[in-house]
Amino acid sequence: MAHHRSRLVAVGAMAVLALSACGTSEGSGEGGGSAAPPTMQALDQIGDGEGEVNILAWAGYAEDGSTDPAVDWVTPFEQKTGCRANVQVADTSDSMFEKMGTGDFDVVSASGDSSLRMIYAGKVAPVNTDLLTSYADVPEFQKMQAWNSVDDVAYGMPHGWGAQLMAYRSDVVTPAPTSWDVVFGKDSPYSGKITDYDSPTDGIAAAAVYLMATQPDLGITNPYALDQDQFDAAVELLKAQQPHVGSYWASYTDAQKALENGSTVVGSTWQIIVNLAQADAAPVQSVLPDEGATGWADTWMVDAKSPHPNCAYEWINWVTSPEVQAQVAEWFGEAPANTKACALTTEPTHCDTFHADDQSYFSKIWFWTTPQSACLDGRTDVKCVPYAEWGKAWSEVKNG
Amino acid sequence: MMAVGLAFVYVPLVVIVVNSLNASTVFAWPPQDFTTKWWVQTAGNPSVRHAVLTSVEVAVVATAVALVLGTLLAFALARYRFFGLQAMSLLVVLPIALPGIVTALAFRTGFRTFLGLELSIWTVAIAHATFCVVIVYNNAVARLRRTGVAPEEASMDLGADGFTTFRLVTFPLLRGAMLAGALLAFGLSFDEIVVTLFTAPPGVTTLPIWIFQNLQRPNQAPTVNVVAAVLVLISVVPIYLSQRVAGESTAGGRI
Amino acid sequence: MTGDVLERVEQPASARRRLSAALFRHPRVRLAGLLTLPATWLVLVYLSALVSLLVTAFFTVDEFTNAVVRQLTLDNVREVLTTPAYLGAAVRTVAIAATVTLLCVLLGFPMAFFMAKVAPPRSRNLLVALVVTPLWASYLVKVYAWQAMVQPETGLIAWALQPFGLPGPGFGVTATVLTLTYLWLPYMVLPVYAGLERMPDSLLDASGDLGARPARTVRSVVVPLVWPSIVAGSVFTFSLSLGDYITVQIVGGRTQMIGNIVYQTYTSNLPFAAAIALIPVAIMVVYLALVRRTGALDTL
Repeated sequence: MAHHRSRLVAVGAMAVLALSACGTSEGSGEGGGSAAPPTMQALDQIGDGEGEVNILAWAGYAEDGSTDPAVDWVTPFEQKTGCRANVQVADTSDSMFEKMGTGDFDVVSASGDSSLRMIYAGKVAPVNTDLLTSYADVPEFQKMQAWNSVDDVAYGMPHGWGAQLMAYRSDVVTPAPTSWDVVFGKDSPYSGKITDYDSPTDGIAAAAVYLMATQPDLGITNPYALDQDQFDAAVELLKAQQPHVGSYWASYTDAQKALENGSTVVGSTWQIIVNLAQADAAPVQSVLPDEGATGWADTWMVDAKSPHPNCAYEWINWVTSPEVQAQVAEWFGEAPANTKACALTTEPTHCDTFHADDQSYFSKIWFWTTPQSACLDGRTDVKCVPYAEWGKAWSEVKNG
Repeated sequence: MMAVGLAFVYVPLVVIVVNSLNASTVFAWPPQDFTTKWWVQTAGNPSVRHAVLTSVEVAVVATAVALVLGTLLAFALARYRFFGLQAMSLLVVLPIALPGIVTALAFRTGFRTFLGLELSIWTVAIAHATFCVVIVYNNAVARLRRTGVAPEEASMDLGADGFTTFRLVTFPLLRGAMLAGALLAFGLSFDEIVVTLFTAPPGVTTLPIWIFQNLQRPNQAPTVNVVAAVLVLISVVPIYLSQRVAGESTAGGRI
Repeated sequence: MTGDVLERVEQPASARRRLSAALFRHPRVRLAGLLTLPATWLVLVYLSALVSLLVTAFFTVDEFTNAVVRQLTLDNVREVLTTPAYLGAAVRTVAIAATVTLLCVLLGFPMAFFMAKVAPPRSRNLLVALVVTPLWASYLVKVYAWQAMVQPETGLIAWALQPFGLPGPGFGVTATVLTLTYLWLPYMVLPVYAGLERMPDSLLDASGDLGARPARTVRSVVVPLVWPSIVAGSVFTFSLSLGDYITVQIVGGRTQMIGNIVYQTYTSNLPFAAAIALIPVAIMVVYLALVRRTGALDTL
């Protein structure tokens, strides 16, 4: 009798296993980085609004008055187009990647380290640039780039770009820092109060940027194209830094709070964090260090299964129009993609400060992109470390 | 010792109430400035009411389903012996005993890939119901074991059929335990965050999700404190009453 | 009168009575009727999802699109078990969970004892209500209240310790343990209270009559009797601490627990996250198996 029972159990268990193995693949991607993205049609023309649009955005990109009642470009959009906007803030590119492709959202402001993956996974549709009212006003060096187009097909509308800066408490960190030494150096006086952005792509690439300047014999030419030795060196640097880190921030308000209450005093940041801290009368400043920096160039993309494509295009056209671009760029602290906004910013030198029209400055920033095993710097003699490994390595770094 | 314990338990709650009156949004201690503006603001906030309503909807559905499944299961496992009994009693505990993130991730991938469902308020309710079953089950089983089959057999000896026996004898005996289980299940579902985060689509905002989203924004954080203070204050009475009604302490324990 | 009785006995049974009698004679049918719905639900909705997640640990991921590729491999599991960083995280998490459980017992047992045995019967309901009430203050709000309390330099604890010249705990493992203990305390107090309430007072009297001091009574009489309840409470404090990732993000500074690794890697590498998730699942299954022997599962 016992025999029968245990056999029954075994058979039952195998049946459950077999059944469950049937349905475990996530995402619609066919797999393979070099395979082409799935063919999809872009929208033909903008029809009547569907009455609603779901926006997945970086913090500060779609303000509706809830952070600061005076900062609101969503409500005017709703009034003008009749599309009710539901905004959700995403903390990281990974969470953006995971949320797209299901129709839960219509548009996303994707950075380069998720946009290409979204394209290849079939999560976003190509865009019809004829329908984008401000497309012609975006400088050429931002359009049809590696992260927002494939095979001459455009997949999005550039939104803006900026560098990952270093924030510091001007009352604690003296003299004012100009180098990433202060966060990577072995004897940093700010041990225990260093912060870093909690992202595998940015974290490891930033370490690689530092190594490009301090260990040139490693031969790193592109911080996203790291062969195993270069990758290990960057990870070693981060592991050496970890004991001195106070906290890794994923949400911009956590970074702001930490700088304001002094639990962190120096580290990687976005300009909006510094702006908000200064608005709270905290002595926080930002600087672009000498070694250079990683950065982000964001593109508005439309979900492949978007249930509200017309409102989606309306939103994109709205948020990239000169007036709104001026507001977003000043609130967040970035260079707007639409250079017509430069004449409309309340601070007339805003675009100069952020080098909005400066192609050579743009080319010095290492914009987030997805590392692949086919090296992005063109080397064919070695394999580079692909993105899946970056995520695991970052976990290892944080766990000390 | 009891006083120390109660102090430990209530100091943070006092901090919450005090912070809901704190004019600064940084929550340094001691607070410098007091204001009632957050209370006023929250009273007029429609998204809070919507979130509370959503939470109540989910909790009601989850509790109802858990009541049915939990009671059925309690009868099956308390009154019968069969192959797989041990496995069943382990299975029913797992949704709550396994770490939240594992259960949450399992539900998410299970719904989307295995069952092919899209996330909706129903997926949230289904997930909640699943880990609430054990709460009702344990209360019911404890009561069933304590009362035994004697009253039911006596009733049937006196001529009542099975259905009448259930209606007039078993159910009244079980009622208190079911109520206690239902209240605990409701409370658990109402406050649940991890599984909800993983099984809710962007449009569905339960109260914990609303709190999660708003605690992130410095200007909204005080509103959240107000909500929490209100929750605590209004829950004292029903909790006290439920203790009286549930009678014997089958309500002891989380489940 | 006799005629009436005979008539009643000879009346044909109603359909309902026949059904009831048939069910009475066939316990298996009754059991099937009771069991089908819950069993189907649990297996279909939960068990299949859980198994499919755990099976995913043995798959791999497309490096570029992050889609799960159904190719069996032991790489993920091997990596999880051999990399010091992850083993360290596992050990750290178990240590935190164990400490929290211990603290909950040390704090909760006296409270429950007072409530069940020392306090006057009339106030028992009130005390239980007082202990249960914090459960209704949202988990997140309580954690953020602790964040405000343990903030270095400006938090309440730092302010209270200032006269003694001691710094506050700041963000880190200590703060995490304190917060988790606070959060799960009611889950320990309630089962222990229930167990103590069921224990007859006469046992305490008898023990005293036999010459035992109170401490001895507690040690030799009370604890063994309520042991299943203590263990039942520990199942929750341990399990809840083992999988928590939100509290440690808010008050833990740069501390990482197992839950954090799962949370951070599930979008880019689901098989790896599933492999990590195997660790707490295995720990809890073992724990539950051990616990079942003590009979604690009956008193949950």
